Amino acid sequence: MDLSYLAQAIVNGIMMGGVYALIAIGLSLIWGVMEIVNFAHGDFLMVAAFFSYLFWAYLGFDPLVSMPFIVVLFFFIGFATQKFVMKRVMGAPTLFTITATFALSLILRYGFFIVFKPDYRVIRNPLLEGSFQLGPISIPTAKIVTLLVAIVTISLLFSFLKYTKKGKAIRATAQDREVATSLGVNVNNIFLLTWGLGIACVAVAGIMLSTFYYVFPLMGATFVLIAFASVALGGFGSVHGAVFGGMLIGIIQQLGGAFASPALKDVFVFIAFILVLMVKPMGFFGKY
Amino acid sequence: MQGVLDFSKTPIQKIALSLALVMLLILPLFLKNEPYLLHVFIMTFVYLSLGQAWNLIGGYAGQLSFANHIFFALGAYTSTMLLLRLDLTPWVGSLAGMIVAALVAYLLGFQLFHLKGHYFAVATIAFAEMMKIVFLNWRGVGAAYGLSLPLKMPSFYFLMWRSKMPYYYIFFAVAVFSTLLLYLIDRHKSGMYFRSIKQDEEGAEQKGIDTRYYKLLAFMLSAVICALVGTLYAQYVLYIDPRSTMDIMISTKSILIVLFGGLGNVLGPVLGAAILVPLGEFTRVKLGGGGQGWDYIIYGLFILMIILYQPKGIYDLLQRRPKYV
Amino acid sequence: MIYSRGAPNMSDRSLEVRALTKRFGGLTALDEVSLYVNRGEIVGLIGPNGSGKTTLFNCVTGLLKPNSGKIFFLGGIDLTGKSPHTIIQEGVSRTFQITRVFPSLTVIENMLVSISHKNESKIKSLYEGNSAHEAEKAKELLDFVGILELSDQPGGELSYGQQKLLELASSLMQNPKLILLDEPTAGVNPTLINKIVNRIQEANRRFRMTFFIIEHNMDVIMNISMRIYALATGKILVEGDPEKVRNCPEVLESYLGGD
Repeated sequence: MDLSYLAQAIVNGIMMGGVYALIAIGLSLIWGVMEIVNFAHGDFLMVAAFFSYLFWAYLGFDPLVSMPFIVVLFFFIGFATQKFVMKRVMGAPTLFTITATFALSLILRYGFFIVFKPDYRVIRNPLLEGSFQLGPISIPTAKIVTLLVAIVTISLLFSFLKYTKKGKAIRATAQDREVATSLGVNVNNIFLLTWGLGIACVAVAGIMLSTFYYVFPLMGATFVLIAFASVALGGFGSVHGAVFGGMLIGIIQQLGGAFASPALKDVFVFIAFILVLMVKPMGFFGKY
Repeated sequence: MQGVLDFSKTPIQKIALSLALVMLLILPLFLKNEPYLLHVFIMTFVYLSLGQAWNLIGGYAGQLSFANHIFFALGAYTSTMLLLRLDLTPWVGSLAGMIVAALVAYLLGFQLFHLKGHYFAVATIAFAEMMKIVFLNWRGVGAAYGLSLPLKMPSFYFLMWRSKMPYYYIFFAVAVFSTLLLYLIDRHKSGMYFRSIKQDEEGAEQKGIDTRYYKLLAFMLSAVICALVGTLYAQYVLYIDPRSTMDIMISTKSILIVLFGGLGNVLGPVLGAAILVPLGEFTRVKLGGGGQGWDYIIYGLFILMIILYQPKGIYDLLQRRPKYV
Repeated sequence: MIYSRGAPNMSDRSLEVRALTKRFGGLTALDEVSLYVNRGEIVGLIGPNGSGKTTLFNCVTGLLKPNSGKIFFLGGIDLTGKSPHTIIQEGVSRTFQITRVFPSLTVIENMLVSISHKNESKIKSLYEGNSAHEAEKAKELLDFVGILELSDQPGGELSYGQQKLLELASSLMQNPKLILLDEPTAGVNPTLINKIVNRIQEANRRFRMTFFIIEHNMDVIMNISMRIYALATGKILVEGDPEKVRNCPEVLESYLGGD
């Protein structure tokens, strides 16, 4: 086992970690503010990746170019999901909120499955082709750009949450809904905003994934579980935790795949997941 | 002792149920040349049994397990391995499968039951996916290639036939058995205790109920039913692999059936299975082009409708009709 | 430990709490609290919000594990740190500040769930129903508090006051040796308050039931208690008969001082 192999795995882990962090942030935000576990999160990712692919395949747009449009679109998709579906099940017993998002997941996933078949699709990306060599480590350009985009998006989100009025309102609502209401926050609008932001984040992840990963209807399944593991590690309800968790899961996954076998890389993720749930269910930064 | 179903109060229900049972018993004789219809009934019985199993742990005891399909798979794999390696009759193999499932349920429950609500659900999903990956890579049980059962039909000893009729009766028996088990529980103390745990676990503890024991009991019983169905399913389809037996959609479908029909009562899953399974099967055939996709979409849509508009399930909807008895 | 007053024979004590301490992070909710309740007594526990009263109950019934100290029951039984169901099975019943009935269980089922589960076979519960004797007793107790006619209603559909009565009845169901009542008259109209007080006193008289009661309603607690403990910021301020406690200036101060 030579060091460069190890280093490559870690670098890969950090790259993927950026994507996972983006996915996990949306999940954590929605959970933290509304106590809804969004099982359809991975499928929103898939839909965004498909949009990116379709914009490229039929309109010739590079994903980086179509990204702003798609992200804004997905903000409104998240908005609509809360307004027309999730609003009805908030406050219902856990089983109903879980199943509602599960049902959503089924509809999205198999809707795309029927239209696009299970085939894998790939974007041949002139803008982001090629890779860098850092000594013995090779880093595909697409992945580095993805990490940069992730960093920018996460920073923007954090700034929004920390400095803007709406952002503070979101944090207040996550902490204590009643107190927030008594302070004049319109929590219903906050819920809409949160879903919008959460889905917008996962859309960024999906678009960037489409630049170096396969796009196929069932991809939501893999990513949603990784997202859950990230959120569990980082702590449900903490967006900082989600970033930490996403990074850590990315590294664990790639290291596990490098040392054991690529087929088993997700087993390490699940083991970490279950260990965290058993030993430290609050995660490292969690509120609950 | 009050149960949700009080047959003595509704003779119409009693008659209707008896009629239905009789009809189901003689039905296969008319369907000798319709193997596909028999298959649909068989799958309905399969999911009714799995649904009742989930009803016990989820509908009654309130624990949202998404791992029940793993017990199903453990039953299938245990009996099949014993059949392949030791030529052991699946009648005994099924018992072995049930024991394995009960043990795994105990260990899993022991570790995870202190988790609440969402966390428990998500943990069971993680466990299930992990098991799937393990089995996909475990050469000793066939890995991704799966296991093919040796063809020994027709044989009662090896639980294998060419015709679908014997399978129909066996799965029918299991479905009736699981429904009766839930009926038994519903009408006696344990049913009440499970329901109290679901409604307020801490409150139940403060009434002196050993909630951990009861949750484990429900989980193990649930696992045992799933394992039995798994063994029989292997004997029916004659080929098992992780992709098909450890597909989380099996658990999801069982849950959807219970939700659709109505949680925490005995007839809910019956209604749910009777409607959703044939619907799923027929859409899959009619809209064949999409392959497996359409039935999932239909499930998804149905479930959203139920959750948004009739969360108590269809059974409750039927109960609201004025009674003429 | 100094016990200035009390039964010469320790086993006359239904409940004995010794130097009980409970901390939540930096906050000390209970600070070396010691108290006792004799068999057949009605003892009150008062104090401003946040003084630790419910925390004390939660420690006694096992919902919380104390950091240090001991809880003894009936003289010899050590309850400290035991699991809640074990403690309840020993013979302790308790109600909650905000009513906690099982909403989808009927009133009679709420009663039947409250039987004594000590030595109950769990496996047999799969196929055993409640005995006629248990059903009879449930009905008697429902009649005792006056809600027998609501037997088949789901618990969640009862009014707040009716739920309070149901809680009282179900706390008597297992024939406990000690009942902890957490604000039994909170949020209830005056007529009902009298009824509840009357039922508690009657249970004490007729069934020799021992009560330990948290209350905010001073009239009620002064009227009903034989002895009262006053708690403030996790410590016992004073202990004595209602007259003494009522006239104690520190008690009044603790309420006005606020937390």
